[in-house]
Amino acid sequence: MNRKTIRKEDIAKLVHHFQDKHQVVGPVAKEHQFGFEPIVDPTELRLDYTTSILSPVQHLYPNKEKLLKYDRRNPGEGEIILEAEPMVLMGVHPCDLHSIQIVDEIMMEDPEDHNYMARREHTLIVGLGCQTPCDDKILCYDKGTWKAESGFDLLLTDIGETYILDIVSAKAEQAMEGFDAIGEASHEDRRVAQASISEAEKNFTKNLAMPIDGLGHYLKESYDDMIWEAQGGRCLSCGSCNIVCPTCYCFDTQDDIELDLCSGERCRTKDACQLNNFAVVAGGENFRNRAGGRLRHRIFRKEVYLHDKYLRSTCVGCGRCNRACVAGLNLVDIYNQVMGV
Amino acid sequence: MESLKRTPDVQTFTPVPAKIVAKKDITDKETIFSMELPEGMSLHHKPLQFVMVSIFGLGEAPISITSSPSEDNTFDLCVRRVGVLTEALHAMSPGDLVGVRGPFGNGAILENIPGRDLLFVAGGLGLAPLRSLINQTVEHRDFAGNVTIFYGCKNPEEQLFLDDIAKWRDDPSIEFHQTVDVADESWKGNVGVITTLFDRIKINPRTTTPVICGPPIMYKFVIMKLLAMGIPERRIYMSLERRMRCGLGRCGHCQINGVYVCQEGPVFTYADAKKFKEAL
Repeated sequence: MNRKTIRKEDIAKLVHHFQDKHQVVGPVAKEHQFGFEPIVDPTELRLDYTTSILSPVQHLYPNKEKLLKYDRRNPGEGEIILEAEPMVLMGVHPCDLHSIQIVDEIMMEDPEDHNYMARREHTLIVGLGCQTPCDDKILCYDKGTWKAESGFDLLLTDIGETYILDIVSAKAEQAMEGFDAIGEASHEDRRVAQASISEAEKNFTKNLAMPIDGLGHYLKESYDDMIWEAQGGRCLSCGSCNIVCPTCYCFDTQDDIELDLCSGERCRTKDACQLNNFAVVAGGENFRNRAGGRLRHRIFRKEVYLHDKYLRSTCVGCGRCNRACVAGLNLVDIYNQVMGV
Repeated sequence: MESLKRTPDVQTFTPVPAKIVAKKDITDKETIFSMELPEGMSLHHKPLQFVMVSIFGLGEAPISITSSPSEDNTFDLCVRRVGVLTEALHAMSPGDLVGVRGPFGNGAILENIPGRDLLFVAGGLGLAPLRSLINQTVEHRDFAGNVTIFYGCKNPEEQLFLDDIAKWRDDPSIEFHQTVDVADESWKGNVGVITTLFDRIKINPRTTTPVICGPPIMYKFVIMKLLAMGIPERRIYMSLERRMRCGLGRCGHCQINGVYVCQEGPVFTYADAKKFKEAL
């Protein structure tokens, strides 16, 4: 690892440098919130952002993406579409670094998702440590995802006037070639960086009344509890939680067609298990026809089903679902209730 | 013979063109399509597996394979006309091409159950996938002991595969029983739900392996009957239908609790299926 420093005012220069060969995507202000957007003007970048409405994963696994090109005059044979341009994801917070690693593991599994992997291979990730919690809707401190030790090519650590810039991967070394607005990190800088992480930790508190390790067990025990109907009764089945979730990857496919009614593209769009018709089968039967059952399914997928498969929770505790919920449902409350607190 | 899953690149979302070589309407809603893959390719499917059928511009749908496994490049699909894609498929003619991906799912193999007495229980369109296993059994008759088929449908007009039914009925090595929920004047057979057939014959619970495929409502009652007869839960095989969108274990639509039906199913034993709370 190569440890450097970069002055905050030089971040725009760094963005500009990356823009030579990459599209740079990073946090920008969207009224009173933030979003991960392609950066046009480097000064738009807001590394002081709290959280973003959608996670940076949307640029690796878009809400809608093209899979195949087809022509109805040549039925049966489609042409694979792989859309991947060199990209830098700038200022990715630890929770999202964890999300990307989770989605990586899922998409790499056989059969590998070529569309995702193509994007992923062309992407350089610049991590950014968190100094303060976004709000009280998060579970990142409970889950240990408030910091990340891997999942980035470069890492920024805020030490006041400057950032410590860790250049971690060979890909990052290459991308940094020719950029000289950086300095060597002194012994003192390193000490301050270390101290700033310990200092930051003091700002975080756990939101669950019990250690999260027991959550899977309590959830399994709660499968038939009243809590799902009670909480689900408030759910409007709008799917907002799924759409903002960085690790939700369920999808549907649809064929878009051009005005010539011959050529078109088969697309994949992110789908939402909270929508009423998600689990409908032929004949109209719906095996999850109640909002309570669907809420339970969403939570069980993250904390039980996929946890059992990947040996880690696939919820990073970023709190986006809680912020997006129009009915005010909140995982913090649900988990505390499930654990009997 | 080259498998359809040619290379990882092709396997995921790109279909292979399959030609409709014959088309036979068997009811006013169901049609059997005989399909042919490009020269040198074979589906290599197992009974109760399914393929994703594509018509560009309309999309993709999971359809079970009704023909028994074969080594050549042909296979049959029985398609009910129910939606936009199946409507368009029904309007196609021999010579037309559609896209096919698969086969997907675990499927059932005869080798799993050598020497057992087999009891096939099919309800409605459930006969379409089960026919693959029934005909494989008929083709390799020495693999199984006694073979009994129960087939139920709503009314006589909805009977599928009349040619097969005639063959099974005439086959002295097969016991075939049929029922309809509602009869008409032409109907001379049993009237009532499928469980009424169970009282007609003696089944040895120790030697019998039932395989069930039908609408969700049927499973509950058939399983109750089978359990009451003393057939152990792990011996009862059932095919669970879900509306798969990818066949790759990713899209989430076929998920029952923690299980992706397109990967670990659609064939489950009742002992396994009963653990999933959303299965039946």
